[in-house]
Order: sequence, then structure tokens, then C-alpha cells
Amino acid sequence: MGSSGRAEVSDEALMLRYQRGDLSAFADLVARHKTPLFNFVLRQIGASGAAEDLVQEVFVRVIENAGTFKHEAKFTTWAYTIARNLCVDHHRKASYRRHASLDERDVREHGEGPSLGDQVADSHPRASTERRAIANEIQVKVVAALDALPGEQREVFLLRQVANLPFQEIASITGTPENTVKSRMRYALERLQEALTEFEEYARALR
Amino acid sequence: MDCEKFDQILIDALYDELDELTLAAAKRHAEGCQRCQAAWSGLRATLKIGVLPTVEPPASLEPNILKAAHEAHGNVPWPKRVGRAISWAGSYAMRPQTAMAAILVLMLGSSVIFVRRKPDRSGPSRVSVTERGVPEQAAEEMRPERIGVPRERSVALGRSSRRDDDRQPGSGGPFAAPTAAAQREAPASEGEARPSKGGDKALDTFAEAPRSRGIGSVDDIGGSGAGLGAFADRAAESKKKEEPSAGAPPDHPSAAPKDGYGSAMDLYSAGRFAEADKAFNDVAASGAKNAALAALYSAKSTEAAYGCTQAAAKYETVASRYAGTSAAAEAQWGAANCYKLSGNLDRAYALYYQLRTVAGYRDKAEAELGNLRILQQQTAAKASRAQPPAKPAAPPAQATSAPRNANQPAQSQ
Repeated sequence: MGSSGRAEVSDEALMLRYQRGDLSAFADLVARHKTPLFNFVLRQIGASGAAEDLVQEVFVRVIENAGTFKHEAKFTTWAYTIARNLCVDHHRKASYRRHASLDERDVREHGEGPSLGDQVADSHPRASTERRAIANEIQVKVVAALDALPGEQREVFLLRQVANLPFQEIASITGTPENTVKSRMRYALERLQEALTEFEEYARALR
Repeated sequence: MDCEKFDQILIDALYDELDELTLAAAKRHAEGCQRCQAAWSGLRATLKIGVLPTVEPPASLEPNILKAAHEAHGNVPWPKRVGRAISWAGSYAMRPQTAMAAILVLMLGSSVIFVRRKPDRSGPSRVSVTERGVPEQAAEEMRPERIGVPRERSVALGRSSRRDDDRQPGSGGPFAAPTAAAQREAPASEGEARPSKGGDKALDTFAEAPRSRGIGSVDDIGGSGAGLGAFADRAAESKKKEEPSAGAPPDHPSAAPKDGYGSAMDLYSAGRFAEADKAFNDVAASGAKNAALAALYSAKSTEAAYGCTQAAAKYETVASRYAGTSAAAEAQWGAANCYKLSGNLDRAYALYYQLRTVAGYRDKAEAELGNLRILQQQTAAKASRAQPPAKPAAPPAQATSAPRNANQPAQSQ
């Protein structure tokens, strides 16, 4: 998902190559970051179509401001700062509209990717069916708990869990001290823990 | 570790971002603390099951982004293109190899500038003195002990004597002894009445010496080592000035645009002595830089135009007005010659006698004094033969006295 999956060339090296006119380097950057960025934006604003537009806008801004990027900076910090600002703007505009688009499908309640059940499924069909049902239930609870989180805590949770960014980088993106970021993360986890209390035994069984 | 500290590091412990020592301490604390143990295990379980499902972006997202990138790449405004170019150049400029190369080029460039810098702009000019061979006899005679100069001035005096003696083999002392450059310019056959241009150059430069170096009188030159040293220095400088230098016009009047002196010298060289006399007189009266030389050449022009009778007085005027200068010494020499030619042997004797103390004239003056003594003896002998009973002619009572009736024609120089 995030930068941990990257092996050979760093994001900054690819960005440097793109600054020199190498479009393939930019394509690599898009391939690396489109999914975590999309998920981050999707979980922030909740609408798939709008998330797609915003992610596209993130990369357009990267293109437009590529000349100002310095290779001492981290690409992910830069890109997620842009994405976060776009999400804030989107929320501001949405608060004025006060109504959702009719053609938007809310994906908060229905995840489209591999579910927890897929992750924990084993080769035994009977057990797998039961676990898939539990996992789907957990996902609904997790998404509901995430929606119930304050924006600051949800933002930190998503940057850590979806974008897989270190706390120091999250602090830089959100413009808050690192200890504050960790506190917000802990509160978010505790809220999630409360929402998943009934699955505690199941969770321990997964250890 | 206590519970408060454990709470602070709990998140880092959950994400394995603690160092080993702290992590071990946290584990030890959790094993002994039920509350912290519950918090740790509870949050770890939540992290494990509270995984958000990953939603794949629409397939159109990536092509749309790349299409936008291509369009943006083709439509980048020129300021941004310049920015990219600067960024690209900056990425190279920030490399240490580039910085070292720049420093190397800077060092080489600055060293080239310093090497090409002319030394005369950086500080006071240095006088280069070329030492030449000195006749042993002349060096012996010019030793400071012999001419009464203190020892500390002997170095300057030595230089002066060598320089002066070096010039003596020439046609007429330092004035008529042209430098090597002047000798190339001037024909060797020209006599004293028409000195060569090289000689004129030497005269010009020597005439300036007393004014700038403070030589006030003939005594300075004859009796002061400092004066002689300064004289030698000026001689060296005049030699240096005669050598052509790139970019700097020579100080010599003949090389400069024609002024009054140059015009007068042209007349003199053309043999128009009467006009030259007047022209030189004007220059001398104007008090110009080379007034002493102009006065000297005025006297020379008078001699050539009107004869020694009128010139002698003029020579004497120059010698007294510009006393201490080389022009005055030359004028004194001219006056003595004129007196000798006109039969005034007493005055000629006195002037020659004085010239013995002037460097560059001593040998010539001694020779002329010897000639005059012979003339005096011959005159006395004639007188005794014409008047047998008369008293024998008495020798000069003083060194400066001369025979009173020396009417015999003088020898040519």
C-alpha cells in the first residue's frame, strides 16, 4: 500500500526524474499512490466519484507544482498535504450545499475491496463462511466507528492505517505536534475498540 | 517504568517503533501491571481486526491522470519551464563536484588576474640600476675619503662616481654623453655646437634631477654623497625613461607634442641660431620645466650666431642663475671655453678650476688648466724676450688667478 511496498527507486528520485521531463517516472508515482490516496480521500469524503475527481486533482497539482518540489522533502508528505487540503475544501463546499449528490454511492458502509473475511478466510469452506459473515459484520462496525470519529482523529487514523505514514510525517501533514498525533491515534483506537467489544473474543482467537 | 510513561509509549509499542530497551521495559511493566496489560492487548486486538477494506479506485482514474499529465507537460507556460530548467540546473549545481570545479576555476582566474597585474600600479616604482665596469683609477679617485664624504654616504657616492665615470669617455661629460638609445639616434660626427638629440635627452633628464631631488648647489654635487647618490639615481631613472615602455608616453620633450622648447630645439637643429636664441630665451623666461636647459641652449645659440664675446656673459648668467644644476655646470664649461677663445685666460682659468669639483668635468677641466698653464708660460717667455731687463713673470699667486696678458690664440678643444 504505502511506501513500505516500494522496493527500488524512492518517490523523491522518481519525482526528480519527472522534473527533468521523464513522464514514465510520473506514471510510476501514480501507480504507487493512486490506491492509498483514493482510499484516504474516499474515507474522508465518503463519495466515490468525488474521491476520483479529488485524487485526479491531487496529481494535477503535483504536475503543476513539480518545479517547486525539492528532493529534500518527502513526496508522500507533499501529496497527502494536497489531498488533505482538497478534502477540507470539499467538506467546506459540502457544508454549504447541505445535500448529497443523488448519483453518489456511499461506500462507507459497503467496502469494495478485499474484506476482513477474505483476509482471514482459510481453506475450510464451512469455517470460512462463518468467518466471512463475522468479518463483514466487523467491517460494518469499523466503518461506522470511523464515521463516528471526530475529523481530527479519523484523519490521523486514515493517514496511519491507509496511507501507512509514520507519525512524524502525519504531524507534518496535519501541522500538529507528533505527541498530539499519537494521542489522537490512541483515542481513535479506543473508540474502535469500544465499537468492536463484542468481537473481542474473536480478535483474540486471531492472534 | 510507570503507568504514565507506559501510556506515552503505548502507541509506539503497538506499531513496533520503540527501541529494544524501551520495548523490553514496557513489556516488563505490562507483565506486572494489569491495567497496562489490558490496554496493550486490547488495542493490539483492535488493530488486528479493525482493518478498513481497501477500495480499488476506478479503472479510469490512472488514464485520466496520465492524460492530464501529458496535457500539462505540453502546455507548461514558459515561466514554469524556466523554473524546471533552473531546478534541473540546480540539481547539478548542488553537487560537490560542481562546487569544487567552480572553486578551482575561481582560483585559476584570480591567479591569472594577479599575474597579469602591472607592478607599477600596485606600489611605488622601483629604479633599476645597471652596474657597469668602473675604471680602477676613477673609482680610486672617487672614494669618499678622498672627496670628504662621510662613510655612510659612500654607497650612494660610489654609484654616482661609477655612473659619472662611465659617461666620461663620451664627447663632453654627462651632457654630451648620450645613452645607448641616444647614440643610436644621433650621428656620432656632430660636434658640440650641434649636440645630438640623444645628448639633448640626457640634458633634459639631468636638468630635472636637481629640482625634484633637492640638489641646491654645485657644492651639493661635489661634496655631498647624498647629492651624488641622488644624481646617480636620476641618471638611472633617465636611462629607464629613455627605454620605450608600452602604453606610457615618454617624458622626453621631443617625444611629446611640440612645445616652445621643442620648437626652439628644431630651430637650433636647423642651424637657425638667432631665431633659436630668441625662442630659447622665451622658454627660459616663462619659467617652464626645462627653463635651465632653454637658457643653456640660448647661450649656445648666441655663441653660434654671434660669437663667444656675447655668449660668454650669457653662459655666466645661466651658470649663476641655475647654480647647482647640470645645466649650470655645462654653461660654466661653455663660458670657460669662450673666455679661453676670446683671450680672457684669467677668467677661463678660474672657471676651469671651479669645474674640477664637478663630476664629469674634472678630467677635462684639469686638461684645460694644463693647457692654460703652458700658454701662460709661453706668454711669460715671450714677454721676457721682448723686455730683457724687465722682471720675470710671476706665477699665479692664487690657484684661481690667470696670466694677465695671455693674448695667444687658444687651442681648439
